Amino acid sequence: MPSEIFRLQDVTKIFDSPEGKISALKDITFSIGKNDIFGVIGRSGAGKSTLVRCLNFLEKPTSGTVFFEEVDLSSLSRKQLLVARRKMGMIFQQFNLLMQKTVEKNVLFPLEISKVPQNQAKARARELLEIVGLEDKLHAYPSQLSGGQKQRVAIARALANSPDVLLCDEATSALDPATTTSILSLLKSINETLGVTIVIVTHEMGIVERYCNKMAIVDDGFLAESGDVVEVFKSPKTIAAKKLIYAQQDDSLETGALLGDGMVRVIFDGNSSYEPIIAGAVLHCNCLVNIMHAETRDIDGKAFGHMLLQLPSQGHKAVEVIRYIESKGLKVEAI
Amino acid sequence: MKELLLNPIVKMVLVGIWETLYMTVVSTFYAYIIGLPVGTILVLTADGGLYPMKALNSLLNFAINFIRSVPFLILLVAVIPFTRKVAGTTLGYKPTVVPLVIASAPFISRVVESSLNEVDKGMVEAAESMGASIMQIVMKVLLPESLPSLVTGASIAMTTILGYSALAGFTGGGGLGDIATRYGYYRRRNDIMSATVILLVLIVQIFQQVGFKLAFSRDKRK
Repeated sequence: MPSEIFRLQDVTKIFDSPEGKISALKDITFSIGKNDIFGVIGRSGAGKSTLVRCLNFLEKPTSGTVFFEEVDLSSLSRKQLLVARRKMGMIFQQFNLLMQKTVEKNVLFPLEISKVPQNQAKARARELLEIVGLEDKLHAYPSQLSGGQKQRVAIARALANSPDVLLCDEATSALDPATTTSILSLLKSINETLGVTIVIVTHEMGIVERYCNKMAIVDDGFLAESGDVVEVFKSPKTIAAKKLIYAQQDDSLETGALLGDGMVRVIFDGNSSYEPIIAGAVLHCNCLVNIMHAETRDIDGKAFGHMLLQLPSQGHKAVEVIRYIESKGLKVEAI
Repeated sequence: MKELLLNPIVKMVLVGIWETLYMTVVSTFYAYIIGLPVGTILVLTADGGLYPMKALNSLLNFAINFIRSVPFLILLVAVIPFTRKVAGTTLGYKPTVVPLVIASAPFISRVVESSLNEVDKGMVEAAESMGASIMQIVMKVLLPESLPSLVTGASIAMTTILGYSALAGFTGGGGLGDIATRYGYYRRRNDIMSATVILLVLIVQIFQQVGFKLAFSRDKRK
C-alpha cells in the first residue's frame, strides 16, 4: 500500500483578474502521507486556501500535477473526478450547511449524491451524528445550532461517504478557543479511530504545533518549508517560517525595537535545555548577558525553545559567549 | 342574495373575476415553465458559474432585455398574428394567456436568476466537494435553498402578470380590465369602474399576503 495520499508536483495556479494575472501558487511540490495530520500554514492571502482546493480540484492547477492515491487528477473525466471527490471530505470556515434542511438531511445529502439506498443512508447518518455527539439534534435546523455544533454536523456530513482524507479549510477560524479545541480533538480522534488523513489549513501556528505531525508553510504562493512539525519548529530555515514560528511571540522584532547591537537568538533543542548554559556562559566568559526574551515549549514530549540575548558590546567578549554556547550544542543566530 | 346574483352587472363582474384569476394563474404557470429553466441556465452559464458558456449566456440576456424593453401594450398588439396562430382567435380571456406568457417569462427568468444568485456560494462549493453533479447541485442545493426567495418572487411576478392582464382589456382580452375599459372608460360608469379597481386591489393584496406568508413559513434560516 502506498504511503502517500497526495503528491503535488510543480503545482502552479494563476488567476486572471481585471488587474492582470495573479499567481496564487508557484511551483509547489510536496506530499501528504496516509494517516498524517498535515498542517498547511501561512498568512492570509498566502495561497493556502487555493492550495487545499487544488487537492480536490475545486481549483484546477494552471500547471503541475496533483496525484491523489497515485492517480493524476487531471487525467480523470468529469464523472471520474466526481467519484474521486467522494473519497475526500471537506469542511469550511463558514460550515456551508444547507440552511433549509435539517441536520439529518444535511448528513444524508452526500449519501443521496452517491445514491446510497435510503434506509442504509439513514442508519449511516445516525451513526455519524453519534460520532460527532449530535445524535439528539437529528431534526434541528442549522440556524438552531451553535457554531461548534454546526461544524460537527459539517464533519459528520464530510465523513458520510467514508473518505480517505478530510480537508479542513480554516475550519476553526470562526469558533471560540474552547470550541476550537473540542473540534480539533474530534478531528484527532477521527484520525486515530477511523484512520482518516486530515489536512488542516490554518493561520494559527499553535494548532499545527499541537495537533499536526507534518506541515507545510506557504508564503506568497511559494512553499517555504515542509516536513515534520518537530523539525520545522526546531530549526526553521526560511524567513517566512521563522516569522511564523517566532514572530507571533515577539512582534517587537518586526518593529526593530529590540534590534540593538549584539543581539542573538539562541535555539534550544530537547537535549540541552536543562543545562544552565546561560549562567555557564556568564561564568566562563566573565561577562554579563541580558536575556531579552525567552520561551520554551513542549512538542511531542520534548522541550524546544529560543531565547533572545543581548551580548556584551565588546566584540571579542560577544564572540567568546557565542563560541561557548555553540560548544554546548546549541545554535546561535545573529539577528 | 339570489336577486343580487341574478343582477346582470354583478354576474358580469363575477365572470370578470374568474377570467382575471384564470389569466393570471395560468399565465404565471406557463411563464414559470419557461422562466425557471431559463433563469437557472442564466446562473449556470454566467462567467464564474458552474458551467460558463459565454455565447448562450449573452444570447439569453439579449433576448430577455429585448422583450422586457417592449411596453406590454405594444407587445400585445405586435404578437397578435402569433396569438391567432396558437389560440385560433385573439378575443376573450384564454388567448390573452399567449402574450402574457411572452411578456412575463423574461421577467420571471430575471426573478429566478436573482433568487438563485442569493444562494451562498459556499453551499455550492460544499456540494461540489462531495462530488455532486451540476444537475444534483441545481435540484438539491440551488432550488431548495432559494425556495423562500422563489416563492416571494412568484407572488411579485403574479401581481405583475395581473396588472398586464388588466391592460389586455383594451384589445378585448376579457377579465376585470375588459370590464373597466368597456364600462368605466367608454360608458363612464364610475360605479363599475370603482368596483373593478377595488376588486383588483383586493386580489393583488391576497396574492401578496399568501405569497409572503408562504415564503416566511418555508424559511428555516430564522
